[in-house]
Formats: sequence, C-alpha cells, structure tokens
Amino acid sequence: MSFLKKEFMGIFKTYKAWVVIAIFLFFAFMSPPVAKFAPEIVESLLEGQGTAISIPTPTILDSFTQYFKNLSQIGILAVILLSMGLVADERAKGTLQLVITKPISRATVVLSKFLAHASLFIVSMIIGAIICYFYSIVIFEAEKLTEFIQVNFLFIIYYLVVLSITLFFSAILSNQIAAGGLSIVALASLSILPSLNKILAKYSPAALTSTANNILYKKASFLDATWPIITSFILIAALLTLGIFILNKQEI
Amino acid sequence: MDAIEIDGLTKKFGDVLALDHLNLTVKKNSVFGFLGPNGAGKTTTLRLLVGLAKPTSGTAKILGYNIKSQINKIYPRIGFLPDIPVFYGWMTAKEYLNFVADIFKIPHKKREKKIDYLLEITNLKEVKTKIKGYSRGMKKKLGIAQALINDPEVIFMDEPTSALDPIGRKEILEMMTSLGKETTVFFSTHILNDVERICDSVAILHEGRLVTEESLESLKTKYSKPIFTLEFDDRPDKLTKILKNMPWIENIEQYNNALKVTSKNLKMGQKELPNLIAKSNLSLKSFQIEEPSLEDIFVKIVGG
Repeated sequence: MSFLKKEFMGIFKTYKAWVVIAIFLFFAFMSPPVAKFAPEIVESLLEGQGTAISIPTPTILDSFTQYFKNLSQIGILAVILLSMGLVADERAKGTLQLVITKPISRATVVLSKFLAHASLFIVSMIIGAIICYFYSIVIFEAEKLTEFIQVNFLFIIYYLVVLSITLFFSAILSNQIAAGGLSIVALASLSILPSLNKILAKYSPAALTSTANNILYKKASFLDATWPIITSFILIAALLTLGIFILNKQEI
Repeated sequence: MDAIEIDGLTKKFGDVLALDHLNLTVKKNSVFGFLGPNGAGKTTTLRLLVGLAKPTSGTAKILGYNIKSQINKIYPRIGFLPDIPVFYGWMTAKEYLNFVADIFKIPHKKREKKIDYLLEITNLKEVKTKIKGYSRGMKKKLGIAQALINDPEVIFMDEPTSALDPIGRKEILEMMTSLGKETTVFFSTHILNDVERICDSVAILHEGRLVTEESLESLKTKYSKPIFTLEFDDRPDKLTKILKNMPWIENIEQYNNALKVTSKNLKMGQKELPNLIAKSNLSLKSFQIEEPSLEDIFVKIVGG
C-alpha cells in the first residue's frame, strides 16, 4: 500500500492527473461540435470551386465516432507517452535503488504503478465520456446511451492493454524513449493481427476497437466482444507477470 | 555471529573482473571502513551486498542471512545510502521519510518522533522546500536520514561524506561513531582522514582484490615505519655509528646536530633509542616521533 499511496501522491503532485483529465476534457468538448459543424466547414471550403458534394446531415453517432477516433489515436499516444517512464525513468534516475533495498518487492512496484495509472485513465475516461455524452445530447437532441456506455467500456479495456504493454517495456528497459518506441511498435503489430486471419480478428485484443465501432452502428452486439475482452485480460496479466519476472532477474 | 561474512564474492562485467574473490568479516557493532582508490570495486561490493547486483560467484551473509536466497529477510534490518542518493523531487524531506516509514510499517506515533529526530540531526528540519531544490550535500543528509529510519542493525554507506562541507562532514562522522555503538556501520570511502577518525577496522581494496583487512591499530603497526627526529647540543657521530649496527633500524640520516632515524618497528625504537642516547652521554634537545599517516600506508599498499 505504501508504494501505491506514493504513486497516487505523485500523480497529483506532478500534475499528471490534471494533464490526463485535460486531454479527455479536450476530446469531450471538441468532438461534438466538430462532428456537428464538419459538413458546413467542408462546404465553405469548397464554395466557389464548382464541386458538388453531398454530405449527409451529422447525427449523434458522428459525434461519438469523432470522440472515439480521438481516443484511439491521440489518446493512445498520450497513454504511451505518460507511461513509458514509469519504471524505466525511476531506474535511470536512481530513485528505484533506494526503494527496492527496503522491504518492498519489485512486483509491488510494478503492480502499484499499473493500478494507480489504470485508475487515473479510467477516471479521466469516465469524466470525458460523461461530458461528451451530455454535450452531444444538447447539440444533436438525440440519445444512444447503452451503446455509448458499452463502447466506452471496451475502450477502457483497450487502454489497460496499452498501459500494460508500455509498463512491460518500461519495466524491462532502462531507457524510457526505447520503452515508448517499442510500445508503439508492439501496439501497431497488435492492431494488424485482425487483418491476418479471421480467428485473430475475432479473438485478439485488437478486435476490441473494431467491435466497438460495430456496436455503435448496431452491426455487432456487446456479446461479440466477449472473447476480445477475455484475451485482453489474459494479455494484461501475462505482460505484468513477465515484466515482473524479467525485472526480478535484472540488476538495478 | 558476525554482522557481515563475505565469502569469495566475485563480480565480472563481461571480461572485466570488478571484484575478485572477496573474503571479509565484519564484527557486530563496529565501524568498518572500506577503502580503495576510484574503480577499486567498493561500490560494486556494496551493490552486491544490498541486492542491487548479482554476484558472478561466491556469496555473503548479512546477520546470518544469505544475500542470494534470503535478501527479503535482510531488507527490514538494514539501511543503505548510495553514493548519489536520488529521491522523488516533488516530495519534501518529511514526505519522503513518511513514505519510507510506511514501507517499514513504522507505527504513526513512533514515526512522528523518529522523523523529527532524523530531520533534526541532519539539519533539514527547517527546510520546507521540495527535494528537487536541494544541494548535493542536503540530499546526502536526507539519504542518511532515510537509511536510519528503521533503526537498522547494519548500515551500508557508499562514500557518506563526499559532497558534504567540513561542518557537515564532521557532524556525519560524529553520528557514524555514535551509531557504531549499537549498529554495524560498513562504509566505503577514499577519504582516509575519515577512516582514521572513526573506524575500528579497515579493508583496503585495489583493482577488485582485497589487499588487507585488519584493525587500524594493527595496520599502522604492520605498515608504519616511524621516523624519530632527535636533536642534540653536539654532533651525534658516535651514536650514528652505533645505530647503524642495530637490526631494527632501517635508515639513518644525520644533519649536523640532528638525527633522522627510520625504525622498522615503532615499539623497538621507543624502547631502545632512549637507552642508547643515555649511554652516549649526549645532551638531548628534542625527541619527536612522526607516525606515518594512513595516507602514507594506503599509498604504499596500493602502490600509488
């Protein structure tokens, strides 16, 4: 508990909490108006060029799609950037030396970091989701609560996968840039899995985001995400276990 | 049972032998100085003993527990100060000590008093700023405070007085001396003066090998070749001739009425010289013994 307490304290004292919350608030406040006014912006840009394009009237789904697009791109990058130094930086700077020569296991260090940052991302995502949802209702005067909650839930799990990948590399490497770089490579590799064969498309954690998109447009049900959810939790547990195992073998 | 028993501890980094079959024993409640020039293997030894590095071969026991298989039993009973202690810069000293006390599960009532005491003796009580603004010396003092929070039975310190100003150094050395009454202090240093002031025993490490391990007293007796400076009213030519035949004399130099006698053995010189002077009928003006410093011994041993 002592290390978990310290992690939470650090998250707030280093303003990391406010940065993460600000990122999700930005997505929440930007996505609905961007979706609403995108057609008008495009039309005004094309005005006078003699090009006729018919753009369908945006719906609340476009607002949500815009929000989830931000989550799956800039949001993921933010998670990697904010987590790549979690263990690597402590090791490179030397703060870890003083901690692990006390009665505290390396496993506790890694798990505390995972729990604290998972909580930070989950809380920030919930805040972002609530604001995005109500802002979308106001702008589009429509509702889609069940699907929105389900997709957010899948994104939360996907973020935990990203966090565990980044934490894994951060635990086994002492250079945070290398940890971040390898996390991006690993995530890119994971995301191309569904295109390799049908089984991977159905069962791999990468199917979380594609299934999420289908749920939103009612092309899939939440139950279709069962296997990706299970494999995601297996991957998270495996990465944390392996990360701790390798860290235990290493010299600090 | 000894506090530290090191048995054939060896560490290789690739082809480089950083520590070569180190054997060492440190008695309980003593101050043990671990001496050596830069790169001798002092930090490597400390890192091995506190579990930050893994030995290539050999092992060690701390308070009877093996560093390879029982390190978790060792941690609650030791303190460790690295050469350059690094803390979470966003914390204050009090917050950091609270965090460490949390790790050791020190009860809140006892903790308050302990933290206050540690901040007091390290002169950090009035410092309210965050650690990121601390000087190297202040960080060293905080490093010492965090190493003492659990009342360790053995405390490992890597260069504890480096980065400290003369007053800070004096305070820390005094603290280490008083610690040595109930704690085993094992510290590495290349500041010979510190060793001379506070150590009960010393080990000298050179290029990864243990050159010597003994009490400071016996080290001095063994390696010291004291110089006696004698001054007379008249020229001591006769005495010089007599002394040249003495087996315990290593060297004699005469400068008019003065003699510089290098003895192979301090005690022999102390005993024999006054006798011979008395017999020579010379009137003695001054009699001085110059003991070589630990620095001279160190340079002699490591061949500097």
